[in-house]
Amino acid sequence: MAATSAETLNASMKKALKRAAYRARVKRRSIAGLMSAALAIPGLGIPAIVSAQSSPAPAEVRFQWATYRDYQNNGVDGRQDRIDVDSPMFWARTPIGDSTEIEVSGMIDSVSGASPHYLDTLSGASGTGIEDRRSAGDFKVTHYFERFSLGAGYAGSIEDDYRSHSGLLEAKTWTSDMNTTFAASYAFDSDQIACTNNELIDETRRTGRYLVGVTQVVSPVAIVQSNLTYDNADGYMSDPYKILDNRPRSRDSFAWLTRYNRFIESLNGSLHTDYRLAHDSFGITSHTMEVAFYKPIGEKWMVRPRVRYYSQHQANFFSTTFPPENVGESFYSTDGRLGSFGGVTVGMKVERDLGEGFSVNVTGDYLEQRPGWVLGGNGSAGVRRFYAPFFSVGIAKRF
Amino acid sequence: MRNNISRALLLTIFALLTGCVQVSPWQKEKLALGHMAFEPDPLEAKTKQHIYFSKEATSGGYGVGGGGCGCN
Repeated sequence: MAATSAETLNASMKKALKRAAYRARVKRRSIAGLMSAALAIPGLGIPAIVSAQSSPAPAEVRFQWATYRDYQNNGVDGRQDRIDVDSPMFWARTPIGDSTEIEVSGMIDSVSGASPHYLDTLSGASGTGIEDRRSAGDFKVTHYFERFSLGAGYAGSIEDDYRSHSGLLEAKTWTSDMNTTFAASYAFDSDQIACTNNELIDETRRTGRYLVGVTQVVSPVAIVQSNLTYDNADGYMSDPYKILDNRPRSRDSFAWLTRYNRFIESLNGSLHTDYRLAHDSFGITSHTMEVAFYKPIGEKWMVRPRVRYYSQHQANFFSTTFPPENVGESFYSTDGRLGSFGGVTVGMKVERDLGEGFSVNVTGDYLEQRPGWVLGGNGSAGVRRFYAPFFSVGIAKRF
Repeated sequence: MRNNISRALLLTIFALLTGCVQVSPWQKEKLALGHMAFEPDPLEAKTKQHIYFSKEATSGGYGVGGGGCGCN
């Protein structure tokens, strides 16, 4: 009897302790919530995320219509239209209860045009008109705990000749002062590749993707993030639309991205700078640098100019000779995307706050790639210049 | 190349963890601005990554989700 009373007492003490711990958690969350609310600056329809995101972000919905067109210098009479893509897209995020967040997005790409020329009409699928539609969607659920969060998601993409399914796991943890966040994530892609010109091609590829990253507040006006990703792909890597294209059946890729954002008091705007170094087992090394400046104008407007430079050195098996000397005996590709070139993008975004959480935006970008723009200046001869303007209009609603 | 990347990464992490001042919550007003987020517009980020993925040989760094596409 005495033992039972002791057990009952013990159980009720445990319950009381649990209740106290729960109340403390709720209180901490409310304080954190109040703090983020206090820190959220009324602005351009974007939620405030104070360095470490330790609880679900407010609900938000976005729609965007993007249109992309590229041209290629055909070596004879200058520009030639190549591909047109129209992409309606949506994205939404919402908290579920106090500590869970759901993010979902979807898009449709309608593609028309021809595959790249690059070297000459024999080595590519140029001249062959293509019509394709890609439907893609993804969702992610994230649950926030006291000092860490766990997320899981799925992404799928379907085209006539390509199907991709991908699963994602993500973990984040932050220090008690919320100035440092560590992230680790893993995704597994399973892709099926076919070819509308060749029914015999029925291939697969599996890719494991790994990320580790750290985000650090470095001062009251600056934050930095550094991510290292490693991708391990096994399976069909060639382009089924390119004659004699024969690439290795495995590829290891490393990318190291560092981003630094700084608010500049004298200009009342924020400067974003990114640098990415990437290297893979095809022998390709690339450098990517991007600078953008977000400048609010008055209460309602914001402009964001950006410039991006990309440079890559070619894959070991990239060739500008067609046909190859030893057909089928060694790895071979004339795909200019595996060659040496540099690319520059300049872009401008304008955003207008409409009040009550609504905002609209218009973005215009122009990308140009030239072999001569590669770092060091020795680009792949024969890779033709690319021109690609892309535009988008979007609307966002923050709740 | 891999060694160089590892060394540079370790140096960056070291610099991140040691070279910053302690910032208190009430000093984070500017960091809380929407345009101070790394990706203020997730749809724009997706569009950019998709276009560059289809035009350049390397990708990665920004995240691991999203899956593949034909993108010829």
